[in-house]
Amino acid sequence: MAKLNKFMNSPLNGSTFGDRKSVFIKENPYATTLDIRVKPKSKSQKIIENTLKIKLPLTVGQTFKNSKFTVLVLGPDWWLIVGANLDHEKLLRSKLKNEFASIVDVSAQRTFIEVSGKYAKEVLEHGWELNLDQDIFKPGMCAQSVIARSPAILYHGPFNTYHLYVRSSFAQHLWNFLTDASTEYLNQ
Amino acid sequence: MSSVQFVFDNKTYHGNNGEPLSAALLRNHIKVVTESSYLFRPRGVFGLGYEEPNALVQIDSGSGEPMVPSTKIELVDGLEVRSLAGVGDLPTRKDEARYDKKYKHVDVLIIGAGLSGLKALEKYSKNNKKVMVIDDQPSAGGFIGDLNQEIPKKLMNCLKLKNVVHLQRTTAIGLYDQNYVVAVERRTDHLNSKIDKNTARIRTWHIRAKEIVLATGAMQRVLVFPNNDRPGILLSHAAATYLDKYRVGTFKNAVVFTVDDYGYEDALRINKTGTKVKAIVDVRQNISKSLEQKIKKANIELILGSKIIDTKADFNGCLNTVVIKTETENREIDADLLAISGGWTPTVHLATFLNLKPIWDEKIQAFKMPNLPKGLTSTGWANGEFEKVENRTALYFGELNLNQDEISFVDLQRDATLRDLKRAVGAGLSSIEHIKRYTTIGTAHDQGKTSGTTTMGLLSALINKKPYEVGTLTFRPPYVTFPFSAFAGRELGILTDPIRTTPIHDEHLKNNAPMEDVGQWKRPWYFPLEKENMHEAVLRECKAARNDVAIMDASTLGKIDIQGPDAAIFLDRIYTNMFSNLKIGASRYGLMCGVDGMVFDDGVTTRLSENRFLMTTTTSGAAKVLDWLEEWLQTEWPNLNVFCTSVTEHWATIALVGPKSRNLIKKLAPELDVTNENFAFMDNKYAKVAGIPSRIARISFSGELAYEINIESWYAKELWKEIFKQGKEFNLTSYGTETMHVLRAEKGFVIVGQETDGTQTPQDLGMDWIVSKKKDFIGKRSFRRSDTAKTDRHHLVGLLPIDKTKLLPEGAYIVIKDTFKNKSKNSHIGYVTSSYTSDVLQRTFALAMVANGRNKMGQIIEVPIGNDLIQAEIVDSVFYDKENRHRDG
Repeated sequence: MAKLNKFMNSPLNGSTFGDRKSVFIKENPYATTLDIRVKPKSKSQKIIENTLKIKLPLTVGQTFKNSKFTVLVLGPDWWLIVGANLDHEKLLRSKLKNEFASIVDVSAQRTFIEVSGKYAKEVLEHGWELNLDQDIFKPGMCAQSVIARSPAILYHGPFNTYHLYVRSSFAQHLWNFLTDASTEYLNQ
Repeated sequence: MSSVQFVFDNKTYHGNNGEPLSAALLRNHIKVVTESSYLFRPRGVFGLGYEEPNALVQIDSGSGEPMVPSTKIELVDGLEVRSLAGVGDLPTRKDEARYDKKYKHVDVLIIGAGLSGLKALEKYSKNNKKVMVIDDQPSAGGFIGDLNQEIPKKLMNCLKLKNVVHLQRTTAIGLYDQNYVVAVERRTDHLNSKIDKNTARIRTWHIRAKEIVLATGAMQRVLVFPNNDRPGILLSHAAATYLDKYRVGTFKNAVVFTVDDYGYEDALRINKTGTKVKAIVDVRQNISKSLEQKIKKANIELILGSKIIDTKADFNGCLNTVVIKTETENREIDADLLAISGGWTPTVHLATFLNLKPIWDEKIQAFKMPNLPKGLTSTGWANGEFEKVENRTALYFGELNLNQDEISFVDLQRDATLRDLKRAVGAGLSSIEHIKRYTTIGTAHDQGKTSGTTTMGLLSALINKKPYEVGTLTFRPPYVTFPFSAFAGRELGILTDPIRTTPIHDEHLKNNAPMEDVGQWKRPWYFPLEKENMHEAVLRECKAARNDVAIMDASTLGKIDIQGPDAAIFLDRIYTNMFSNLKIGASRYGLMCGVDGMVFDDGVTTRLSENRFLMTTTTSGAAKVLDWLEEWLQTEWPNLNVFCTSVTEHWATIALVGPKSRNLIKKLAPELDVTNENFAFMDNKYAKVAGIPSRIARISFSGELAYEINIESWYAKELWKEIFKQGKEFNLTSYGTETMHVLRAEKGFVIVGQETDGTQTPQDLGMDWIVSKKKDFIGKRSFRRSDTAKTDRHHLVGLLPIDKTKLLPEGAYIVIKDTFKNKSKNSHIGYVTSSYTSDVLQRTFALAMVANGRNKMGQIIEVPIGNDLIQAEIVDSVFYDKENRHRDG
């Protein structure tokens, strides 16, 4: 389905918060997202990779990125393709024919909150329990956990830029948490 | 050091900025800080840190805090405190301060920045390891005397390394499995007595470390003798520090009572400050020659092989005389300070939180760190590495044979005495854990930091057992007390728990809908017009749904996209009813049970294509059902080719309900054939609704003709607004969860979690029709259990109060008629699960679970409410449109 922008509202209305110097938080809504579940190393995986010219890495927490897509490994048989358009779902189904893969458009399931700046990591560490140290959670890695009791996926983009993929119904709560957690770091 | 003003018990005093309040109190000659909790004896400063059992105060300035050891309060200008005996009180004003938490992962966590902690730091900070050092003092260095000497200087410099995170005023309060430490950092109290709203006052750290070094040091023990609690009796290390480091100058004449060489060190320190140490009383017969010479040189009398057997006080209750029993005589010495050195106990608390038992060390006469697991080490005094133990006496506890009227304190905070201990032993107790509970020793805020080992020593003597046979008291986190607000952190107000909202939430707020909590969701409860109360609003909403058309936001229902060649087989096993024969594009209501055969969740599932289903779950059951499906797929049936994906928030659902809903949907989606023949009950169609691509389902939870419009959630708000515009001519009415409940109850539809509590079978609910007799499914086997198969279990029935205006309270008990007043036994036969006033029935009605209810139709039961007995008739659970004539409009 093509997007009908004039009818669309994102969970956070494209809000922004903070300052570029210390910590900056903004919503990046409407990224098309496909949820892929497929047996690892199966024929289906190959077909998906070849059709979209991507890799579905096998290690959880790894990502693949090219000019079009970011692929996140969420589980041993679970990937999230960000940046696809919905014709890709049709295309994949046509190429897969009878090979089994679960492909679900989950674009509106989550929204994307970007946290960037010198103190981005510090702000996240108020709620994210996993290790965010640069040598452990390197740029280009992802993880799934809970932050402020909200299930979320965290993707480390370029250095000091983090993307939280949060379920739409939790978005406002997580936003409230993040902006509050920034209190000590703003304008620092 | 700058001088600051502070208030103690409404009087203003001066002290040095940053020094412990206890030092400032002593400096101002406030020797009596408080009364003891139970015996109301005057008490003063006794210790130096968190071990302080006596000098607790209530802080009134800033955020306020009850029961804080004055030894751990850093003096700031404007500090206001008052003396406190026993329990403090919570400040009644709102605490405006900020509290938060933070997570940290390091290679090495060093707890304690004294000499041993710093030495560990020097070692571990090499090789660029990530090291974190936490210490509960205002500054690092612990008991190191002169930080400007070469070695301390070198060690202290390690704190500044780039790979080192260093926090002072930070106390590890808990140590848990997998090297997980919780620590609290006090960040602002030492800066100002005013509240800084933007800086967290206390930060709770959650630290995970590959290695932990316990460099927690040791604590000095009490010595037990009659009247050992008077103001002016201090731990010798504390006394020396107050006089030497803080120069409080309070005392003129001192006696030191010791069992080890550390007492001598403190005596010499005290003697240098101008406080005259008149004598050292040592229970040992001999000490080293060199030590003896030092004491002689300082002109201090040495009284060996002797002990203190009593103390006397002035009119304020402060110490003025010490009574000493030597080998030959009893003699008295005038002294306003008695410094006691009862030996040192390694601070093992954190290790014991892991349920490790400390081990007895004969050489140091103390319990020390147990054998620690991998990744956990201890060092320095915490590890029992004392320098001055060579010529130490056996664990000394004082005079055991006392007169009845003498009081020798063991636990100063609890006012627990040697006599209490003897009484406990006399009552036949020998376990230290029983003794603890009998005497309350070790149960105060300090958990017996100074008294624990002494208690154990006394007990071992009283019952003639070795110390290691007696064992130690159990310590529990938190190691020190701190405000609950630090635990709560930012999880207050709207951040207490996630508030989940639908994409249409803002519109509901604009329409003044009060919200109902459904799990973490906020759902509109009802939409009152001006001056309308809830009752009136709900009746109006119900009328609109039954007679015209009404609209509701059903987006919160859980939704799971289920794909795979085995999806249909999988659903057949999950649901009690069949799904493999569902035709593509059709929906079916399904019920799922746990393995016990009890109803677990329900919802409508739609077959989108041959191998793809969209399951809906109850609003609060969504996560639970997805976990349930994944559990079966991953652990029991990995051979099934099925994957499940949550799409709860991807889709939003707007329900149009009522006889006029067909006309409205026709207007909204002109291209859609809405005739009953082409769009039948439980069918799904794809069409544009107000220009937005939608899947429309004819699903009804009210018994009325109804359409559920499913759209990608980012369109929901605009669509809602647009439907309202176009629905004006149909008098479109919005309704909330309350009306939804009434409408479904009129039809006898259950709500999982309202009619059920996990102990109802489908048959109990009168839903045997949905339980397949042909196939196998989860829970089926349990229906053969004798109790599950009984025919007289509690059944879902309807209740009609005889008085049509009486509303039965939900949850009310149901009793057999005429049994309540004569209090007959077994008269209770059930309970009300749902109860409402119905517009369409023009009366009240209820659903209830009643024992053997289906076989009691027409019987009158009673519901006792206060002094009232409300009578009601048991009827069928479907009250409205039994023939489903309204379903198709």
